[in-house]
Amino acid sequence: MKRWTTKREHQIYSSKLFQALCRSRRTSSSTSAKELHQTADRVLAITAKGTTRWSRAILAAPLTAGTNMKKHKKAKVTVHTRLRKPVVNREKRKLPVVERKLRALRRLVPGCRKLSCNNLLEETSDYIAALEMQVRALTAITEFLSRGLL
Amino acid sequence: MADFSEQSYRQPFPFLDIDPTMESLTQFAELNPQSFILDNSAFNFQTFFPLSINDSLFSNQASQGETMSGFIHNSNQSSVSAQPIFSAKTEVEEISNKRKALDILESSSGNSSSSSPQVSETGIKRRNNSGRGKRAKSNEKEMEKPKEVVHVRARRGQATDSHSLAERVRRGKINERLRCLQDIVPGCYKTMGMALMLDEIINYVQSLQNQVEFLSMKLTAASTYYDFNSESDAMERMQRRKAEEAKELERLMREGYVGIGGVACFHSSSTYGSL
Repeated sequence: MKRWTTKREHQIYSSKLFQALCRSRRTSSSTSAKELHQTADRVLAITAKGTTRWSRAILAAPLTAGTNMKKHKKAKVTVHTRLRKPVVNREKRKLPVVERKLRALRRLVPGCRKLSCNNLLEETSDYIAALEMQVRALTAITEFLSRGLL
Repeated sequence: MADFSEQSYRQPFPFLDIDPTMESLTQFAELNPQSFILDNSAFNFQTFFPLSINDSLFSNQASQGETMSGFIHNSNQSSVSAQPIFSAKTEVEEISNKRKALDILESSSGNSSSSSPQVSETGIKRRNNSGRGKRAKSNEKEMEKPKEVVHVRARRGQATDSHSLAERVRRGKINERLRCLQDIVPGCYKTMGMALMLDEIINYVQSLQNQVEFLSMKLTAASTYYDFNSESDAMERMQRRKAEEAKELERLMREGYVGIGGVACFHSSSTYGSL
């Protein structure tokens, strides 16, 4: 968590990001924001040096996997649901409040779908620090490009 | 000397405060050859768990001296019961190697250098601990059945079975991580519970991800006007620019916040940009 705050790491990430950007620009003429987002995420994962789960997950499942969202399987709704005995599950579904939030968090952090609460929190703190660095680097590059300093 | 032994049975508190060391326990053992077995095991307890031995032994004495004496009586009455104590001792050795024991040691007192300050500390802790209403439970657990293996010390008023201990350890770890996150995520104060904290964390992660997406769009827009083929020394330029701007800012800070001077400096930095 501390390695994402040093200036050195910031410089390393910015330079790598810029190089990756130029390379991708040279190879493909299409300039989509999504592509850039993916390359930025991947360079971030590389900078993490494989110690965290989310970085490994980002590197392991790349190349236009963003649009292939899994359809969340819900219970099949047949016609005769009303005729069946209504099972009172409403209270039970709402009870584990913390569990629901943990599930939402698991969906947000990549590669942490089946982690325990403990490890999930650790991954989250590392992920947040990395995202903050990513934001800083992207703003810096954007600023330089828009000012014409590069 | 007999009085001393009786006293030690009835009033463990002053006993503990006055001379809470191994010596007192040796005296205790010498005086009571009947309950020697118990004390022997107690010694062994102490070697492995310097903290809690006195705590568990004497806490129960403090709360209900009868149960303790009852226990000792039980051990005296049948030599069979002596066996489980010894077997329990070996089990204690195994358990002492486990992490849980260490965690419990750490949890019950911070220091583990010498036994006497620990004992007095635990004594004080016991007194300061407002009863949580679980006395009876902890006493029950102290009445060791021959089958039970885990001998751990717990704070007064807290259950001693392995499940609740494991739970406590797990909760401690989760709380530690939550505290780390609290420092990172803005807008979290210490009194927040788990659910609120998680809410904040989720919101923050979502906002960061949105920010990254927005910035990537902005960057693609900004980079359309850039000639990527002539990029060779652009990175060096960028880093040089960064260093220069950092120096500029430093100079500004040193010269103080003179309004006009600041404006003039900003002008100069913007002209720099045309390089």
